[in-house]
Parts: sequence; structure tokens; C-alpha cells
Amino acid sequence: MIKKRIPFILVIALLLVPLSAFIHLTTGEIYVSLNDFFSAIFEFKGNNSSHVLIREFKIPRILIAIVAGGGLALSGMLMQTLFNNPLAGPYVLGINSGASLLVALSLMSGFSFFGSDIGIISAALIGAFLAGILMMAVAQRIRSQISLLLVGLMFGSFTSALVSILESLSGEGALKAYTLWTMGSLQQVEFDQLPLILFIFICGIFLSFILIKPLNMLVIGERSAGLLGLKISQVRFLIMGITALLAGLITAFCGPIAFVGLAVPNLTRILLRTQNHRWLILGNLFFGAVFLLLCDSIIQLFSEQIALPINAFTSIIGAPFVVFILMRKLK
Amino acid sequence: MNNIKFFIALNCIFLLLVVSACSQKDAQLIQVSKSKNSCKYSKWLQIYEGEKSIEIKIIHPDHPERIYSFSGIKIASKNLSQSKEYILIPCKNIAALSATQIGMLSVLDAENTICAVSDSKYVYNASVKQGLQSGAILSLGASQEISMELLISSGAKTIVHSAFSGDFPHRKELKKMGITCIPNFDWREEDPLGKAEWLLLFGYLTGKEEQAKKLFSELVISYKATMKKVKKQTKDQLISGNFIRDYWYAPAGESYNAKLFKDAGMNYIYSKTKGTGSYTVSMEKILMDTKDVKIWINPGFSSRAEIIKSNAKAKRLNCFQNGKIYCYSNDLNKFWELSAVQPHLLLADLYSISSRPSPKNLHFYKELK
Repeated sequence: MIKKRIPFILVIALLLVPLSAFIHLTTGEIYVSLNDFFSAIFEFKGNNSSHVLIREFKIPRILIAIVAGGGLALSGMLMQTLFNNPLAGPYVLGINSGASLLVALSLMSGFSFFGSDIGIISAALIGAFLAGILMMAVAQRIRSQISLLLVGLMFGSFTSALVSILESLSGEGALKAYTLWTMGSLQQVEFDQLPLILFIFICGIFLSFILIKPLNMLVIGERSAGLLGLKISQVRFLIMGITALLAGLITAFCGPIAFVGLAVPNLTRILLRTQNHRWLILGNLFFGAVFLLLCDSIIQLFSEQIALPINAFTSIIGAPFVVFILMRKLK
Repeated sequence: MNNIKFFIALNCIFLLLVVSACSQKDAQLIQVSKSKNSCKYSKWLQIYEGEKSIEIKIIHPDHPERIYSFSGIKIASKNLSQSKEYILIPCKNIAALSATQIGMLSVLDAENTICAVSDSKYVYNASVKQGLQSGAILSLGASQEISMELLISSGAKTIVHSAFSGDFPHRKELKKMGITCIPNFDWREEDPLGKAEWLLLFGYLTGKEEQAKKLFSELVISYKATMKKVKKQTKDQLISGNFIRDYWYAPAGESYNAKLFKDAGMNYIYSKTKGTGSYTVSMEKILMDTKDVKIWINPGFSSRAEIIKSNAKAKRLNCFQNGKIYCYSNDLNKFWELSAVQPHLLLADLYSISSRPSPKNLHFYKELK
């Protein structure tokens, strides 16, 4: 029964991805028919505005929503398994804060390399990885889950304070660039950047699948997994590396997007009711993509009335869900 | 008993004197209020000229019921009502806290009245720059974080501020020290001539009202002369504004910029939209709306490379690929300082851009390469 239920849910989730992408495609201010869509893909003409709209604006936005939703959910799941804590996630544990701090430093440092796209992406990746290493070191010493989360939140506050100091010292241009970056966006990615993004994303998924067995063993706790022969430090390093790669990639191209990495893995666990990471990885990828596609569709739907940043919108939906998880845990 | 009677009589005389003084003062002010408003185009500034004083009324654009009233008097007196704010004119020490104010004082040759400025790195006027270098004019720092200590030590008696975030900080305390804070809402005017009319305020403040009136009437004539040249709207469509992250912010159809475009005969694509501020457009809508646009005005950058660096999606717009882009970046500081008080030159630039294939001798604008 269980064996049939989980694949069934996953097939539905998989089917929801193209359906959500279709909804996303049709909720924009400019209507796009499927005919136009396919002709823009297979018979692209640079002087046709509809083709440019679809190829340069619609497709990158849809694909980055899938990558960001799936990637953040997957990295959140990895964090939750590593720290054995349902409230862990790249945002709560300060991975995003680390990326944000390094991006702020790069944008406001005045070095031209850091002002470039590659500079910002490198800064986000390094920041995410350093924050991950720091949190891992703290996790070695602190056993309490709540204390670890508090440390993550404190780290977030600390980086915010540093960013505020940087803001007060920086010029108007850098300040504006950073403030806009913090709002998050799924619309800044160029069609030409997609191959690189998809390549890193697929690498992240591939590495996660390689770690299925260690991830399943970590569910019973690090100590027990170690007794069963798992090389904990190596696994930790790999998990943190994958998380930093995915969260850093998404933060670099889209800015911070809150709560997806926290809410979606919990939702996936509730729906699938399994600790098998073979299913959880797939579930997080599909549900994460659907979640962000639908969030962005709602933003598109109301774009004439209100200009909503994606980061604010995911927070509005995600924050109550975290409260729900906390209350559920306290019961 | 006689003493008491004498005391009551004395009090009565004193009261009568006070009442008569007040009624005289009120009568004088009523006389001022009944005179004609000197401002014809401004929405938020009213100036009533009396024989002995002038009355300045500044209406808060967001709270029209809030009116800032000032009485300009030429001779200081101790018998003035405490309920009103008085300005001794001509003002000798003015703290000008925005570029447009420096511009207005400079066209009146009244830079010598400026004792302090904010954002000094953006100053265009040569004599103000010189004053800053010599220390005759104090730099108060960024406009949002003005140093109050420096402001007081500059000896300013009148502070003209842009009132972006309401009243000037410590307004009441400054009033007690004899410093008057005058809010300036020229940036909220929708009519370019209304914005330029704030020149009259500075004319009255500096005692150069006749010069201000003459300058203003000349610029109105010049502005209207350019408007008359416009026989019909040009066919080439125009867009204005730029992306800020995911959205394009364009001037709404009833805004200051939209009025300028209309007066210059430009075919602005969002001229029929409602509002006096910005009109927000999604990325995909701006792409489709601008597919036939040939002119892009005011992207807010000095070169095409800067536009792309700010938002790479801009290169997909037809007006970027096949059109001409103009910005007021010929000299940014000059634009911010003088464009408000020289709308006739601004209009002349826009008219040239819309009517000539290769406009030359532009005052504020340049074509971006």
C-alpha cells in the first residue's frame, strides 16, 4: 500500500510541475498561446516581439522558478536531515545570510570584479559555503536543536548588523543595487545563463542521489549512523557542499528567497510520510518547483495592482507555516 | 479705594490698547489676504502682496488642510503676534537644502544670501562652490542626515527644505531661536511653470521680487513660444523611465514629465494613464508596449553600457536596439540645479529631440552612446 501511495503522489507532483508552468505562462499580463510558445522555441525570430517575450522573458522566468523552488527545497531537506531538525533550512541556519553578507561586501567594496555578475555569483557561493561550515562547527558543540536554531538566527542578526554598517558607509549606487538584490527576483536571469544554472542544479541533484544511503542512515542520529560505519565528517562536508552549491547558486541569481527551503521539505514529509530520501529528494524537487511557480503566478496575476517582490511573498506564505510546524512540534 | 479705581482704569486702558493693536494688525493682514495671489501656475504656493508685508502660504500636497503661513515684514517689531511666523525680508542668511533652491537663488544673483547647503558634492553653481571652498558657505552633509550643530553655527535665519518626510526636525526649537523653516514643495508641482513659479518665493525672500517676476514672465513667454511651435504631435512614439529590478517605472499621464512631453508635442505612450507619480509596468508589458517606440527619454544613466549593467533585460527593448536614447546627463548637477527654474530650456530640448533627426545645442540632454 505504502509502496504504491508514494509513487502515486510523486507522479501527481511531477504532473503538477508542467501544469503550474502552464498556469505561470498564462497568468502574465501578456497572453501567450501554446502555438506562439512552440513557434518561439522552434522557429525563433529575433525581430518578433512575441518570440522575444517568450524566449527571453517567459522561459527563463519559468525555468528559474523551477530551479529555485526545487533547489531551495532540496537544500532545506539536506539541512534538516543533517541537523536532524525540522526547523533547519538555508534561511534559518544563516546560509542565505552568509551569501547576503558576501554579496553586500562585494557590491559595496568598490572592486570592479565584485560588481560583475561572476563576482556576485562567486561571492554568494563562498558566503553560503562559509556560513555552512560555521554552522556545522557550532552544531558539533551544541546538541540542543532549539539552541542551534537560535545560533542561526543570531548569526542572521549579526550579518544584518554588518550589512547595515556597510550600507551606511557605501554610496547611493551600491546601496540601491544591494537593496534591490535583497528583494529577490526570478526575472533577472538571461536565456544565455540558463545552461550554466541548469548544469549546477543537475550536479546538485546528482550528488544528492549519491548520498541517499548516508542520508537515510543520518535519520537515526549521527551517533548511531557512525556506529553503523558511516563516515560522519565526510558526509557532513558533502551535504554542506551540496547545500551551499544549490543555495548559493539560487541566492546569486535570484537574491534571497525566504522560507521555501523550510516550508517545502516539511510539507513534503507530511504528504509522503516517509524518511526514505530517494522519495524525499524527488518530492522536494517537484513540490518546491510547484510552490515557487504558483507563488510567482500569483505575483504576475496582481502585477497591475501591486509590485510584489518574490522574497516578501514567499515570507508571507512561509512564516505562518513555520509557526504551524513549531506548534505541531510543541504538541 | 481711589487706588483700586485707578488700577481698574489703568487695566481697562491697557486692555483697550491691546485689543485695538490686535484689530489693527488683523485688519492689516486681512488687507493682505484680500490682495491677489501672485502665483498663477503653482498648486502649492500662494503669495499675497500687501503694502507693508507679504503673506506666503504653502499648502502641504498630501494634507491640503495643513497650510504653512509666513508673513514677510521689512522692519522688525516687538509687537508681533506669536501665533504667526514672521520672516524679516530681505533674508540675509538662507540655508538652501536642495539643488533647485540653489538654482533659483542663482538665477536671481542672490547666491550671497546662501550660508549653508546640503549634499555639497552635487553643487553646480560656481560661486556657491567657491563659497564652500573658502568656508563662507557651510556644507551640512547629506540632505537626510543634516548636522543640526553645523546648521545653527552657519548663522542661518531661514531654512528652505524639501519636506520629503514632513516638517523639518526641531522646527519649534529653531523657531524659538529665531530661525524660520520654510517647506518647499516645488517637486510636487505637476505643471513645469508651476514648479518654476517657486522662483517668486525666493524673489520675495531676498527682496528681489521685481527681478523674479520679470524672469518668470520671460520664461513663461519663452515656454509658450516653444509650445506654439508644436503644430501636431509627432508620430514617433516615446517611452520614459527605466527598470527598477523587475518593474518599469514610467511617469504617469498627469505627472510633471508627462506634461512636458505633451507640451513638446511628444507621443508619449503612457500619456493617458492616471496619476501624478509613477506608472508601474511589468517587464513583459513594457517589452510589448515599446515594440514600436523609437525614442527613450530619461533612463537615468549616462551611457548604454550603464543601462545594461543595471538591467540586462533592457537590451531586448526595441528602443534600445533600434531607437535613440536621451538623458539629462549632459551635466547632471546642472540639470538638478537649473532645470526646475528653466523649464523653457528643458522644453526646447525635448522639442528638438522630437522634431529633429539630430538635435544640436541641447541644454540639459545628450544622446546616449
